[in-house]
Amino acid sequence: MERVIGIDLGTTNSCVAIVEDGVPTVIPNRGGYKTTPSMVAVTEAGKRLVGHIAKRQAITNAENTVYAAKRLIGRKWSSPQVKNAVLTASYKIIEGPHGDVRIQLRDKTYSVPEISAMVLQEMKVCAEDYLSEPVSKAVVTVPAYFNDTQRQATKDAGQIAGLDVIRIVNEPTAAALAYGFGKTMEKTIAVFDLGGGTFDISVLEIGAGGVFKVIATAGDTFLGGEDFDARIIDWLVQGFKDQHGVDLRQDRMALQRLKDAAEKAKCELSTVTETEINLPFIISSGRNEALHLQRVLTRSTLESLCEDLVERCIEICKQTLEDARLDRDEVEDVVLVGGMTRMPRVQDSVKEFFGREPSKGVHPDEVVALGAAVQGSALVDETKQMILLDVTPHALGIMTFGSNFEELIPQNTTVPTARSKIFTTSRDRQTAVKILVMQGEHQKATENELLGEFILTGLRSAPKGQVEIEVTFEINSDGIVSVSAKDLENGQQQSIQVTASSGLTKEEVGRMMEDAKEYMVERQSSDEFEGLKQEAEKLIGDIERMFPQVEQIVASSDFGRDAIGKARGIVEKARAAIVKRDSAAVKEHMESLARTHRMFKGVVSRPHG
Amino acid sequence: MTRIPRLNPGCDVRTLPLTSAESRLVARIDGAAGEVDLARSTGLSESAVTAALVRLRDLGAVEMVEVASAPTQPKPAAGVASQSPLLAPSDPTPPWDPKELEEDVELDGERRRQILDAFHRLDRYSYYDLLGVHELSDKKQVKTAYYAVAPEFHPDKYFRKRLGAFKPKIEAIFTRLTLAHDVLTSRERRDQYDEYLDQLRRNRAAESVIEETRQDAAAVEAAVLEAAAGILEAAKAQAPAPEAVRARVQSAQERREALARKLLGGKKLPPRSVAASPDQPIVYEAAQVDPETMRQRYEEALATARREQVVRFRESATAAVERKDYAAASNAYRIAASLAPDDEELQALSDEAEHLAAAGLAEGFLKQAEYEARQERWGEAAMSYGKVCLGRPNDAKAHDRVALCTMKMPGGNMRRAVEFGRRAVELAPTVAEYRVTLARAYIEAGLEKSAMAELDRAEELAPKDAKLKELISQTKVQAAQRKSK
Repeated sequence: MERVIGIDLGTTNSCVAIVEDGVPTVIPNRGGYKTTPSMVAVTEAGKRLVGHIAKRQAITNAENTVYAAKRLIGRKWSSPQVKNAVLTASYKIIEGPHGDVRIQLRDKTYSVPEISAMVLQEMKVCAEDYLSEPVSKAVVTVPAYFNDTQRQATKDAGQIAGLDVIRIVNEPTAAALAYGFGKTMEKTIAVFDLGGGTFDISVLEIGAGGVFKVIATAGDTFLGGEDFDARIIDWLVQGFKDQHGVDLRQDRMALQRLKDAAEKAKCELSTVTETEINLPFIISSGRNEALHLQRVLTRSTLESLCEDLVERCIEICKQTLEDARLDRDEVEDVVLVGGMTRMPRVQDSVKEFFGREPSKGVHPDEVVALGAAVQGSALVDETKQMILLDVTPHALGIMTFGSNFEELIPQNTTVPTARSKIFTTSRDRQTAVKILVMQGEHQKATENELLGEFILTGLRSAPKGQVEIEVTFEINSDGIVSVSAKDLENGQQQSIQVTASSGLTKEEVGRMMEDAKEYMVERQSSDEFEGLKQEAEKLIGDIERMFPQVEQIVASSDFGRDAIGKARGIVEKARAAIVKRDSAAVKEHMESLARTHRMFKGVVSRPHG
Repeated sequence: MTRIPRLNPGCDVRTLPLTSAESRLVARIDGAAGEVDLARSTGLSESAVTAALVRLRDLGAVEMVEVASAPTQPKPAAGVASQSPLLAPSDPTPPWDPKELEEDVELDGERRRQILDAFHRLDRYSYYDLLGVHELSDKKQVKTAYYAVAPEFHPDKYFRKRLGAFKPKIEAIFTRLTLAHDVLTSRERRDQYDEYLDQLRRNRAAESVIEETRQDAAAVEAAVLEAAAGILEAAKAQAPAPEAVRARVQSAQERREALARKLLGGKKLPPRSVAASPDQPIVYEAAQVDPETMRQRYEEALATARREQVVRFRESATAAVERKDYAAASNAYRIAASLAPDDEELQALSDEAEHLAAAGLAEGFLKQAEYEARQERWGEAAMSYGKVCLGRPNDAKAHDRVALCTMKMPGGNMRRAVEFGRRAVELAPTVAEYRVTLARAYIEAGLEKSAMAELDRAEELAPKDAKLKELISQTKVQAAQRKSK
């Protein structure tokens, strides 16, 4: 049975886990860290960097370092969130060919799923190194409040990275799976997940026999740690402007340094009550004079800067409990997920709202990946007694006359499910009707996400309101939405399978997948070459160091002179192969190098009169 | 000693402000079950049962009777199912086509059978039965039951398996189980559903009361004859054995009372006017009696017994009419009328009550049918509309509905649709709409010619109705297409 990895593809950090001998375990990356920054960069030399090394060079290469790509995934160029990101991001965001979003890194543009794929690929490689076997199947998590377009884009990212994403799981749900894993309990819990970019709240029931049933879920896909950082940056920028009259936003590098400092200060203020932000030589004033930024940020200032953000979370919690028809005291445990829940103000608000101390049993950064791994193993292993009954986070419906949204499947409906409703024609002599499949909660259809459309033709020409059309929505267990429309008079039927468009065509995804594969091959061979090169250079170095001594000893004989000449030839050829980065040739010369090395060593160590 | 609750016959529990739990508890009080039994059969805790009984006693609905603690037979816990019937082994004769088992899918034979069984039995169970819970179960019990059965039918259990036609079936089962859970855990939706179930049960009960009338009337007649024969026999015997007579009279009487109890829905009999109670046994003369006198005496006894019964059933009928229980009233009147075939007034009353009962039943079935049609349970709706037709044999619309619902249900019997469509047209020959329904039924049944004829008539009937005209011409096209195929 093939192993399935669980990947938490986060806004700021990602994490990969696997169930090993029945125990969910986080897989550390090559640096030994359990989480990897979701950052991708391209260096001046065109080299791709992912994770910690991308983060380390972000300040000096701000324009070509992508962070928080998750905030853009599956979004339209025209959306306000993208408009906002274009203004604040230090990298260049441009419009793609399908009204989607692309990112410019040096001379190449990348789609957002491609950027996410680079992070996923990195996680895949970590897992393969750790397991010493190839991995091709994964469960990837997304914020519960992601819509179908965002989910599809995440799936595409997996495909580009060479992963078969066997299931997309909601992050808070995954956290609950990890929380309840291996325990027998019957409990109603709330998962409060405030991550780097998104906020989710889910209420679940854990039943006997390993049943996890989601009761309600809600969230905000643009509310997270990044927004807290932004508040600090605003505060710093404004303060600097007041003091020096210089706008730091004009300088991308300064902005990146501010971003780093803000995040660091925010984290520090979770344990101390006051911290100093010190950024010397942040910018040069017009008069060739360097300016420094130095300010003290207290915890209470931070809290007042971010008060409304925390309030927004609590407001969503309130709504969710109402949707779940639960009283606060019916929630028996509260699980905190995401780095932002380390902030004391957030913890206090949660505690105050739910009237209980949140659970300390799970690791806020790792629990989501662990849960994804648990779900992956439960799906492929029939002996596992665990089943997840999830809900659809958004309502599904169609657009009706006057751009109204008519809901068919309400929010928080357990999937799989099917619902139908009867509609009538809206115009006289209307013989065709366009069914616009939409997702969202707004009464105005245009405020919701359009998932797909099709036309039912051949209706009887009649005064409006007289032809009845039955529209049926179906969501199957894989989350695929099918919609069919039936003319009730003549039984004529038309249907589509709604596959949300991620903004990429199938061909594009295929091509990107090929690109990514090529990159993998390239990267592997380069890894191999680097290894060979090191080994060869070590041998060459040793040989060259021994040359004078060996020459002295053997120069007297013809044989000796000949041998030295040959050795020089070998070293030169190996050098040339290294310069050409031809790993095959280097490999070829390795044996002769080793032989020469052995021989030289033997000569040198032999006692001489 | 144990305390047994009994219903107070003088109290009409329907007029009391009972909670749904209390009214369900009342339904299980049979004069034999103790508090423990009630707790077991209702699923309430014993303390909850006790509390409910105290309130019911205060309301005057229930009296507590002390009885010797004879080892009460632990009643088979009727209402308490331990698990969903979907998990239980199925009927020996499955309602599905054995060919379905042969599909090339990655499921073992037993699983296939379980899925097919469950799928084809979905409509047979109420939401309570489906989850294997009883009607007093609280939210938590419903959830536990759902968690036990739902995973068995969740498609993830068969992740990435080749499931073919089994997949939509599994999903349908899961969806129905989830619907049952959602309805039973939402107070509002559960109340609505309970109301529907109550309606359903009232309809069924009323139906069975009416069905049994014939049998009951015969039983009463037999009881009367037996009573009279007993008298005669006793008189015939030279040495009368008053004990034996008494016993016989008593047993006949007990039978009658049991029957009356049944008819009156478990309530005590109204006080009888002529007492022939076992406490005051009729004492017959032991002297020699000539056969003629004996015959006369027998006739008299018979007539008395009859009269007595007529009076009693008439009284209970009147009482039933007062409570608007027309099914019971019709039943009682019919028995009374059969005992007094010459009483024209009684015959008329009986006919009227029967009419009212049928109408009431039809009304009930109409409500049931409408709920079912709203839930798009076409098969059940077709059945219920059919029962409306029984009560309202001249209701053209009800007949039309049967035809429509039958057409909508998968695998509906098209001959039945045609039959009812025809009757609707017969009853209201000038309504073009019914003719169109009939025509559609004809098409479904493969009778295109008849369909065309009906459509022609419909056209003649409504020459100005544009909507109908359009519909007619569309249906004609359809009929023509079918024909050419």
